[in-house]
Amino acid sequence: MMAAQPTFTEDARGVLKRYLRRVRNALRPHPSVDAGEVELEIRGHIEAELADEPEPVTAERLHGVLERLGSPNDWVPADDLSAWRKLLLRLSTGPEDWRLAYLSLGLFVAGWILAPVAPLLIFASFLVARAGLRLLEERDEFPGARKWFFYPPLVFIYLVIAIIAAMFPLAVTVGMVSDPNLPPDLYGMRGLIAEWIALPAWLGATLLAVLLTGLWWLGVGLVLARLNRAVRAVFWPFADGLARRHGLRVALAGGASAAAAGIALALMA
Amino acid sequence: MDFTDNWTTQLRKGTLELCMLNIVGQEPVYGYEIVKRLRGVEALVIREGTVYPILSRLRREGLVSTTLRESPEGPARKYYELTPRGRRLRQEMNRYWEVLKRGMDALNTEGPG
Repeated sequence: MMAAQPTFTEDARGVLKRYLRRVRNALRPHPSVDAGEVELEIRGHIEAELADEPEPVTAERLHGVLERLGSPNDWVPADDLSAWRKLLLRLSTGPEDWRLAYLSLGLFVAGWILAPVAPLLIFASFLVARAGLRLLEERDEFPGARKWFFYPPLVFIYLVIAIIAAMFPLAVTVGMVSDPNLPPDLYGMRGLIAEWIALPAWLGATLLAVLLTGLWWLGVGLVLARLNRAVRAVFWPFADGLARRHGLRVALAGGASAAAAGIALALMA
Repeated sequence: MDFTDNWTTQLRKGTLELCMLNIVGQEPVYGYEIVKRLRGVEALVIREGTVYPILSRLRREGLVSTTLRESPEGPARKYYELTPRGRRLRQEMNRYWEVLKRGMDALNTEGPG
């Protein structure tokens, strides 16, 4: 918007990037303000303020400008925030800002004690933990020791999702092969193992489980690679390092296992 | 924050929008220029970033309009000017401010000190 963009030192670039992220995070929940428009103006302001500074601009000089601009969280009054946001802010700020962390862990522990409403309480604890961590991120605050309160429900739910996502076909195969109450020709699986493949049941079941799990991993890996950002968002903040290549590796491992099991089945049959 | 600090902070917040409407009402002006002019207002100590969300809100509420103009110093600048609604609001707010100031001056038996 203003003078030509100055060049920054590495440190200053990081400081600027974090500050602009705080601007976006602080303003986005306010419907009365266009966060993108304000960010552009702030960039223009910073560039104009530093136009006469010797380049590259250091973090120290940049700090001076940002100090005068102030904390983005203080720019807009909370009047126009949604009721949910206001409640979160009220819980997370004030005389001490550990309340959301306490609430999250409290709900999680209560979930283990009050069995009939356990799923509800654990899910509520998960939501509070995510919302609490997001608020801290928006304010550019480190969770510090609050991690110990926020992480248990997140780890628990993520582990359940991850185990289901990774082992779903294995559980199905084992269930289908071993459950005596199921009809013998369920999806033709037991018939396939016992008659067509003509292998000992344990070996056939194992190879079939590896084949199905491999195929499943191939699919899961491709989803991880294709919808990388979505998966990172689901498992936030633990999957920030997840890259497309990791999904491709899972897909490759799954494909290789499926191929090996398939070949073994074909040869042995 | 003691009582005086709290009171002056609240007062500044309340008057900032009128100051901005008065600056923008004089002539079309770009955001950073508004901040520079506000720096010249004695006792109006503000966090400078506060100005830009207010500009965005004024624009959304149809009180100011914007135009991009070429700048000799770099990329085009966004200039703000009052819309007819903004001009009416500025008049009303200035009128109210004058009435309030007169009333407060009348109560102040200590004089300007």
